[in-house]
Amino acid sequence: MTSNSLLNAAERRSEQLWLLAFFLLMLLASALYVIQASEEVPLLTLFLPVNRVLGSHLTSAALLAMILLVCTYLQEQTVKLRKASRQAWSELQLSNSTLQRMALQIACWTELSHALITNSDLDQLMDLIAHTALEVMEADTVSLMLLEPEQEELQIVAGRGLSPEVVRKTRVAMGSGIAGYVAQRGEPVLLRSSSPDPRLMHLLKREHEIGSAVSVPLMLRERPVGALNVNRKPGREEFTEQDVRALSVFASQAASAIEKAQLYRRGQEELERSQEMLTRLEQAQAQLIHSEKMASLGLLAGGVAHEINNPLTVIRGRSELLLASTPADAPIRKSLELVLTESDRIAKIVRGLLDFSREHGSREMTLVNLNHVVEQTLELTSHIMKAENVEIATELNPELPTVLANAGRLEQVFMNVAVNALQAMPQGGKLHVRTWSEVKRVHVSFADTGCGIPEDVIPRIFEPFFTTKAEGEGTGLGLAVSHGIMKAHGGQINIHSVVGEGTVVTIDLPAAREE
Amino acid sequence: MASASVLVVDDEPEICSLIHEALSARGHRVKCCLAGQEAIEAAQRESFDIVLLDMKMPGMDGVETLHRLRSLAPEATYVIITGFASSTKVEQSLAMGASMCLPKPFGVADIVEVVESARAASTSAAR
Repeated sequence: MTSNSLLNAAERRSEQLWLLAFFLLMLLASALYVIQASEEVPLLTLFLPVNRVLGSHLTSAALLAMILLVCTYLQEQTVKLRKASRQAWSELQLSNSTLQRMALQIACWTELSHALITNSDLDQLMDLIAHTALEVMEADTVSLMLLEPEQEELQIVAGRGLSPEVVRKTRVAMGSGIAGYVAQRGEPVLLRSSSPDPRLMHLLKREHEIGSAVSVPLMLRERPVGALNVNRKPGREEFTEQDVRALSVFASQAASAIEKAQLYRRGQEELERSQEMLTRLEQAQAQLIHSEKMASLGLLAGGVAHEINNPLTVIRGRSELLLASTPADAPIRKSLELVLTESDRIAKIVRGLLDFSREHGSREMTLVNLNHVVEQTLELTSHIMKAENVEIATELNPELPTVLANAGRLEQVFMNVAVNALQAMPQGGKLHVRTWSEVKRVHVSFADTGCGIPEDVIPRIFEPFFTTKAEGEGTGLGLAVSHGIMKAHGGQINIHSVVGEGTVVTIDLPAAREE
Repeated sequence: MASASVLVVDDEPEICSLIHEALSARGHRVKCCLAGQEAIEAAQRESFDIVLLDMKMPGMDGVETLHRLRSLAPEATYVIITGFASSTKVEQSLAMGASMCLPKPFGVADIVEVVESARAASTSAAR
C-alpha cells in the first residue's frame, strides 16, 4: 500500500471517529435528559420488573457501560491510526532517500554530460565513463566494452575494479556472454541472484560471482557499438529497474560522446597525415630546387671546362716543346717543369668539373652487381688503408639484386667516399662497408670511425667547390660529382654524421627489373 | 715512320700552331684551318691522311664538318679533339666514322702518338 492511500485511510477513519463521538455524546445528552425528565419513572422500569430506585441505578449503570464500550472502541481505533501514520511516515522517508539518490544521480550525470561534450580525448573520456558509472551506480566493478567492427568482438576499453589482465584479455563475441547478448539484442539486462532469470543463466560464466548486475547496450543510430556493465558483489543491496533506466540514459549519452571523440581522433590523425604529406612535399620541393641548382651549376661547369681546356692545352703543349728544346742543365727547366705540374693540377680540376657536369666519359649502362664494384674499390684502396691503420670490414649480401648502372662511374663514387673516410681517420680506425636490399632498392653504406662532420656543414656538402680540406688537398668537387652520378642513376647519396663518432654515407640505387 | 699529311681544324689559332709545331718537328706535313668551311676547301684542293677535328666551332660545327669532309675524303683517318662537347656530339662523330676522340688538354706526346699510330694503322691496312 502506498503512503498516500495509508494517509487517506487514516484521515477517513479519524473523520468517522469524530462523527461517532459526536453521535454518542448527543445520545448521552438525550439519555440524561430523559432520566432527568422521568425522575419519577426510571426508563428501565418501563421494560424490567424492578422498583424505581433500582431502575434508576441500573439505567445509570447501562449508560456508563455504553460509554466505556465507546471509549474502548475509540482507543482501539486511535492505536490503529497511530500505526498507520507511523507506516506512512517511514514510507515517506524511504521515498525521500530514493529521491535524494536520484537527485545525486542526475547531478552526476549532468556533470558527466558536460564532461562528455567538452572532452575530446577518447582514452580520457572512456575512463571517465567507467569512473562515473562506478561512483553513481555504487558498483563494485565496471566494464566499458566497445565493438571491434572487423572482428565482431567486444573488447574492454575502460574498467574499474578489474585486473589489468582481465581488461587486456577479455574478448566477447557478439551474442555470447551477458555483454554480447545485450549488445546483439540492443536491450538492457538486470541480473539479481535473489530472482535469477532462467533465460540468462546459461550466459553467466561460473567464475563470475555476481550479487546483482546491470548491462546496457551502447547504441548509435540503432546499431550496437558496445556495452556498459556494472556489478555488485553478493550480499550487497541489489540493483533495481530504476538503476537499469538510469544506466540506459547514461549509456546513450556515453555512446554519442564516444562517437564524437572517435571522429575527433580520426580528424586529428588525418590532420597529422596531411601535415606529414606537406612536409614531404616541401622536402621534395627543396630537393627539386637543389637539383635544379646542381643542374645549372653543371651546365656552367661544362662551359668553364671548355674555355679552360683550350688555353691549358696550349700552355701544356708549349711547355713540353720548350722543355724538349732546353738543355738538361739549363736553370729554366725547373720553372718549365713547375708549369707542367701546375697545368696537370688545373687539368685535374677541370676533369672534376667535367665529371660534375655529367657530360663526359662513357655513359654506358649495364647490369652491375654492386658487391663487385665495392670489392674493386676496396682492392684499389686496400694498400693505402693498411698504411694508414684503417681496418676494413665488409658485410656484403650475396643475394644482392643487380642495378642498371655504369660500373666505372659508380666506382668513382665509391672511391670518393672511401678516400673521404680515410682522410677523416688520420689516426687510423675502422671502415665498415655493407650492402643490402629492401623495397626494390639496393643500398651500400660506408661507416667510418672518423672525426665526423659538423651539423651545419652537412647541408652544403654536395655543393661544388665546397671543401673543408686544406687548400690544395681537395677540389671540393668529389661529393658534388658523386651526387651528380647518383642522380644520373636514379639513386641517392645520404650522409649521417656525429662529430667525434664517425660518418655513415649511404648510397641507394633502384634494383634492375628482372626481364 | 712514314710522314703523314695532317689537316688540323680548330677555331683556336694557338692550338693549331702548337699541333703544327709538334707534328712538323716529327716530319709530318701539317695544314691548319680555323673553320669548317676552310677545311672543306682545303680538302677539295689536296688529300690528307689524318684529320684532327675540333667539335665546338662557330659556324659549321665539328659534326657537320666531319660529315662533309668524309664525303670528300672517305679514306682519311678522323680524330676528334675536344675541350668539352656533349657526349652526343662525340657519339655522333664516332658513328659517322671518326676513329677516336682525344680530349683536351692533351700533351705534345699524346698528339704525336695518336697521329703516328693512326698513320701506321692506315699504312698496314693499305698493304
